[in-house]
Amino acid sequence: MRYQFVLALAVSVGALAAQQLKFTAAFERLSEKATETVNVSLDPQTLGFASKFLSDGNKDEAQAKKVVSKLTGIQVRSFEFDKEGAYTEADVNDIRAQVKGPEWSLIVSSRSKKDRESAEIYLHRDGGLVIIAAEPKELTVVNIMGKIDPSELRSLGGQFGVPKNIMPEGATPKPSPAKAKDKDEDEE
Amino acid sequence: MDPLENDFREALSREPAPDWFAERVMARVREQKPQPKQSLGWLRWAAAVAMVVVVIGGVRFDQVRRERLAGEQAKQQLMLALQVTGSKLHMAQVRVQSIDRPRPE
Repeated sequence: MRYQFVLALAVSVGALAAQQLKFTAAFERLSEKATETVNVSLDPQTLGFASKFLSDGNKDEAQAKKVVSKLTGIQVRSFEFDKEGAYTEADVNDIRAQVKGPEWSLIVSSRSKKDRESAEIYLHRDGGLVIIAAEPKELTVVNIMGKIDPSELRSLGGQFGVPKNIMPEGATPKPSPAKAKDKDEDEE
Repeated sequence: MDPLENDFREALSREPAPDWFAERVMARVREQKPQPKQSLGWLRWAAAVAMVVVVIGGVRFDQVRRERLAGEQAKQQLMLALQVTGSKLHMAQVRVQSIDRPRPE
């Protein structure tokens, strides 16, 4: 029994570690160049603690509480720069390299060469989520760990700026990137 | 010697107490009921307990206040993270929709 518990614990810790992005020192140093930085790292303990302070009476907070109950961590790094070229493609590629494994699927990828913007959404087969949003003067990486699935993301629709139909019905993370909704826009 | 000084000396000269004085004093003492010894022990205990309650209450109040502050801070961080997530999901959706939409010829 104890062995099973330890095994289950090890598996869940392993799953969490697999979903967690590691930000390099070079990436973290982008904050020195940024005019505005959002740096949020919430571990399971802090998430649980924070959710205790989410009110059931407030619609947004009640919904967030429901979603957060299945999460094991959230990491957000968002940098806003006053000029272009403050970050390099290598900075973004460091993140992309971590979501290249078969356990990750790219479900949305949109690139605009004209606006030099890109947005990529990756789902982990165990439920994690990574968003990489790059604009000429802004770079954002969101890493949500835990058992969030597309339907739960849909339940956040209309709140916190999350669009109501961000995830198509029945969308589930699949290991094969072949089914990714990958749109490359070339407006040049 | 100055007559005034003499008067003073006479007036203030030591005189032995009359014989009846000691007896009366002792009789009065005997008459008086022995006063129960007023114990201040309980008062001390009450003060000590009150002080402990105040200290524990103060510490607990401070703990709760700090906990609430930390919780509110964590909640703000969580809401900020969800807002950033939301805005980026929105951005991705708008991009995908704008690509899906047929372009005017």
